[in-house]
Amino acid sequence: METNTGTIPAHYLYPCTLFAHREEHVVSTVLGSCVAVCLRDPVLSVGGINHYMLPLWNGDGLPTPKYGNIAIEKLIRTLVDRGCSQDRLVAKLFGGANVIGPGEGHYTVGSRNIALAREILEREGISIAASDVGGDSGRKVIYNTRTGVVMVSKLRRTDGQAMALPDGRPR
Amino acid sequence: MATAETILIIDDDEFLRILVRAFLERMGLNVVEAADGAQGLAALREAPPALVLLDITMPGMNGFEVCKAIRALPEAADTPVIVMTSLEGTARKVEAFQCGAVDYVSKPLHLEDVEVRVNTHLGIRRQNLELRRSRDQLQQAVEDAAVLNRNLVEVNERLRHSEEVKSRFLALMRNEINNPLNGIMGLADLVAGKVPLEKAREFGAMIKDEAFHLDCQIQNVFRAAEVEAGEAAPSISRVDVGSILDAVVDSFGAFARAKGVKLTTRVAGEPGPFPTDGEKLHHILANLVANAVEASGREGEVSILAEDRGDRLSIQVSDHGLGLPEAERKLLFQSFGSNGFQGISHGQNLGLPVVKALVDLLGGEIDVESAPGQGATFRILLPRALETMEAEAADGNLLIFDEPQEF
Repeated sequence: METNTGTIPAHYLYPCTLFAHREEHVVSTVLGSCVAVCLRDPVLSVGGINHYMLPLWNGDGLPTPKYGNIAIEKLIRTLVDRGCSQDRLVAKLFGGANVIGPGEGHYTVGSRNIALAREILEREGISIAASDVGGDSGRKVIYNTRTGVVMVSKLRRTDGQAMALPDGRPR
Repeated sequence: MATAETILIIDDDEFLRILVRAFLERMGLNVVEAADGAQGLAALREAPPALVLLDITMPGMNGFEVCKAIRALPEAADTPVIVMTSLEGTARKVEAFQCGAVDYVSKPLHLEDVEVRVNTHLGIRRQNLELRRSRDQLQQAVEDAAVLNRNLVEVNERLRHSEEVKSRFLALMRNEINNPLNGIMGLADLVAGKVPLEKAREFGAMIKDEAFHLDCQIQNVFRAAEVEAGEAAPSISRVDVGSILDAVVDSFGAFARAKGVKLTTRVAGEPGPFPTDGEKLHHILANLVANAVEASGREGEVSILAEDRGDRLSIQVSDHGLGLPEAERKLLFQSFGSNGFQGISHGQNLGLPVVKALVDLLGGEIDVESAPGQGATFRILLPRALETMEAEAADGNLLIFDEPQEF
């Protein structure tokens, strides 16, 4: 789904999908307990972003970017396919709010999503340049694939209280 | 040595310091002087020397105390200390060794004696440093090897996994794609040969049937690849659910008739347009209906019931086939199920995993109800999708954002 805002093409990123492009794009997405990892090669100024819901693919169903381990590895591979060097990739990390679902303990899906991203990025030798993760409120993330700049706004209810967004609803 | 080594002389006798300094400098060494223990320790802390020449009898701290203090300094823990003493007697020398000195020279000094001992201990120190460097390198090499080994194990693990996936994929291809294709080619050969027109019609219908299955499989393979790559973004518009059901029933009409299965659809509630991805919904339903028809015996019936529940769209596809035992239900949505391919109906292997992934993409849920002999009902619940970010802003009673922050 691509629409134009000014001259930079815009893309709305759905959960379970990822986006990477050699040309400049403005990618927006809304995160609750989901996590988005932005990866960028600063030399080429080429970047990409994913949006995953759960940390690990357990082997059931298709290995889709709904799962963090698949989504991060796929994003790295996609960027390398676009000519980026994995050694140069730098990460930014967003989301992972504590949306308390039924039957959830202290260790929420959000915190597990964040922990997984940190673990995989470390294993892949990719440093985290910036992050805004955890907390209780959902986030709207607007990412420029060329500059790597990310604008994050926290979600509020009309009564002024921060709130988390129930994930998974296409918007 | 690239840079000259430094010797620290600690002695209260200025004349002796000048003498020894001149001699050591002629040996090509740097010299730092200190007139008492405190000065010496300060110099040592500032820049640890290669060796210390230390007088025993001094005002303030005596040589033994200074030697102990040097040993206590972490930066000088390995610096050799040679004591200079005019004191006779083994006891004093033993005390010097106990305080951490490595050697002694007797006063009055014989400069040749000083030269031999200084050279000896500088040599030992160099060897020690060299040894330590080698040990560090070795340790680094061992660590590197361990990391390399870990990486290899990981790569091997990934390769093994991808081999497994590949072989399962090939098995799927053989069963679900090659078999119908062989059927089509065989039947086409028959039609191309001399057969009565009636037979040719029959073969034609069979070819159509096989090609239809093949098409479903290939569509699923493409869908799976697209979803796995994260490139299957939903395209949201207001869709007429009734028309989608009709289109699905249409495409399966011939197949169902050939199997003698009756297909019925019903839309309950307000049949208004529902915002979702129509094309993905079509694909989901096509798979569910294909499975249901396949599972039904002759004279069976497959019913599709859609219901607009306001914020959600519920669609269920029911058959009256043999049903599924619980153990099998759990495996349904796994791709390339470990239970093998034999005896599983068309479309089930890749079909349901693709259905599950598409339902995920639309933010929905899927479940199945079944008991052996009771048929099966697959139910999907899809949320009403917001069409654009603008719609989200318009839906402002729910979503208000703070001022953005830059990262």
